Amino acid sequence: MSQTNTQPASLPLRTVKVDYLTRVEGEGGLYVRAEGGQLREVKLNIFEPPRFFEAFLRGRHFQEVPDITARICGICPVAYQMSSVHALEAALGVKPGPEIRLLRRLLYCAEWIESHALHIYLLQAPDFLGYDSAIAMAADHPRVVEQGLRLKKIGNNLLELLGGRATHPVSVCVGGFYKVPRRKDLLKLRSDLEWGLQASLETVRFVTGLKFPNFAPDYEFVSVSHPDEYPMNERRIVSSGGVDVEPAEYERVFVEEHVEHSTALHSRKVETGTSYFVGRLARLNLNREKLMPRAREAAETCGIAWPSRNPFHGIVARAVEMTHAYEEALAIVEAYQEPARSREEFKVHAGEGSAATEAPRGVLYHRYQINDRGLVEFAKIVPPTSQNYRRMEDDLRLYLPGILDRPEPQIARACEDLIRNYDPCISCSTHFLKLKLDRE
Amino acid sequence: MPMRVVGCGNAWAGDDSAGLEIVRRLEERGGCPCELLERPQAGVELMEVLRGVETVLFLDAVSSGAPAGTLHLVPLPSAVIVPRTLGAISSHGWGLAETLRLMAALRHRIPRLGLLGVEIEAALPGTPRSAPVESAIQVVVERFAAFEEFLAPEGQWDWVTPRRFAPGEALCSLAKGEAPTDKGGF
Repeated sequence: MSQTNTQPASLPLRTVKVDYLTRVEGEGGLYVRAEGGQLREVKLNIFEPPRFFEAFLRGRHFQEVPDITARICGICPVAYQMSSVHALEAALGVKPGPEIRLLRRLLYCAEWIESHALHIYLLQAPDFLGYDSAIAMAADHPRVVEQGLRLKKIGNNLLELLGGRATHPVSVCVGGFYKVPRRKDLLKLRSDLEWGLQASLETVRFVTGLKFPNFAPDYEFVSVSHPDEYPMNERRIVSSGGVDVEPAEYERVFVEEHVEHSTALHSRKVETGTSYFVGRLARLNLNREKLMPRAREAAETCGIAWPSRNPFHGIVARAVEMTHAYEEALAIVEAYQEPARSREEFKVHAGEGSAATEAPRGVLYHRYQINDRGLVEFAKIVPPTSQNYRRMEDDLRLYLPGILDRPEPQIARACEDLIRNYDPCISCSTHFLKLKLDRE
Repeated sequence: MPMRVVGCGNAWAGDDSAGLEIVRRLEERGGCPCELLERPQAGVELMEVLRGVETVLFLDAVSSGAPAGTLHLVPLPSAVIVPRTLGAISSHGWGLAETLRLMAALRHRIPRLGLLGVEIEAALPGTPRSAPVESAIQVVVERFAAFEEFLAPEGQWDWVTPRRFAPGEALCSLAKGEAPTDKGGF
């Protein structure tokens, strides 16, 4: 369902320029032009300089790749490590054992916990509660902020234990881990994880009590999907529009392309040219029957009818996923037995491999070609953010006409709120628009 | 714990590594009653650095136009020297100022905060530290006990007034129990 966007014909030509999307991961702005109440142009202008990771991975040894790609993002380094090791293991025919597989899911749980807690409590809650920032919100809602900080801190601690440090972890390698944790060390986190699970359930109740705008475009949701597990590390890529492919077929279905107003690539479906939606709302809509029991119960009883096409329900999906991550982390920690060896041995040979895993903000696709010396000859990385840009612009086209008669600060605020639903790497900070309005 | 000393900077960018190097050498020498930390966490985790101690002293590179090797002792937050490294430690622009505001909003106790800055010559990736900065690092490490005494609650620094010490001499006077000469005047 799209919004109806009829505007009074007397409205003049209006140009809304947002020079800087501030407090975001990266640099971008927003340009909007309307004439006579009709929206003419929307550009999410991403002008951050290219970072060239794909180029400087070439010639590197494959075992360097997980540590290099982890540097792409300070919030989701695990996702970049996971997609790279899975793709390289596919290229080399390496299959880590079940203990390693579980530890990687535990690592991913840690990242989801810290990322989701950050975005629910410190970045997006101020939107719904009417504050300019988490700092302003903290004065009136100290308990809410303290809870968010503690939930996040536990994720950090788990990530540090597994990854060697809380940001840009260094323990992951192709074949497994350089070092695995001791059972006794993991068990020390059990009481924190138990608290986190309860606090996450409380979080679901908190966010479902928020007031959501009525906005529900006709999205095509895309996510990784596994037959038995809520998607993190593997396996196929599916969509609400009928896509169901192996990661190796990703580039047959989805394509990135340059657009004039953005240094970031925009993705679209090859066949239809249309945008699609990746992220926690897509994951939940497509995989909710695979949630851990308490997370699933929370989703089913929270009052939102899933699947939901309202992007503002993303904060609820995030809270449900944080519950899932705590619940699964607790189960893995309690059952954990130290593996006999931390990584598989294998012979290096030339090959090509692809993988898609679920970063907190959506599908992250990697493909590598390596030569018989184990050096990278080609690398392709498609982050979730670039997959969502076109969809964000489509959303703004649908959303903006209904609010163009408002004062500029309100328009800017509404745009920010909408974008923040999508992707913490774009909307990761609160209230970030520096608005410039030209009237003609 | 009387004081937490936090080294900041980039280990691979010449003089920018000064703060990290001081902490590394203090750790290597041992016997320092302070808690030594080699770099703060980014983002809201910076709150952890500020909890549970009376005093936090950041060690970092400074670029103010003074001669390289000059030491700057500045209470934080300060309008005198903008702690650029601290302000940019988060990829989201969340720095010390934001952390202090959040702590105040949450009614957390904020420790005394200071910056010991080492004036740098250059901070270029892959380059060695300059000679004046090496000398300044050496002086700080050698005289650190006297420096701690100077910064203690009953010490001579008032934790209000920024001080600047010319290369090579300021901490010598600290070692003698004398107040340093303020040659910078800020």
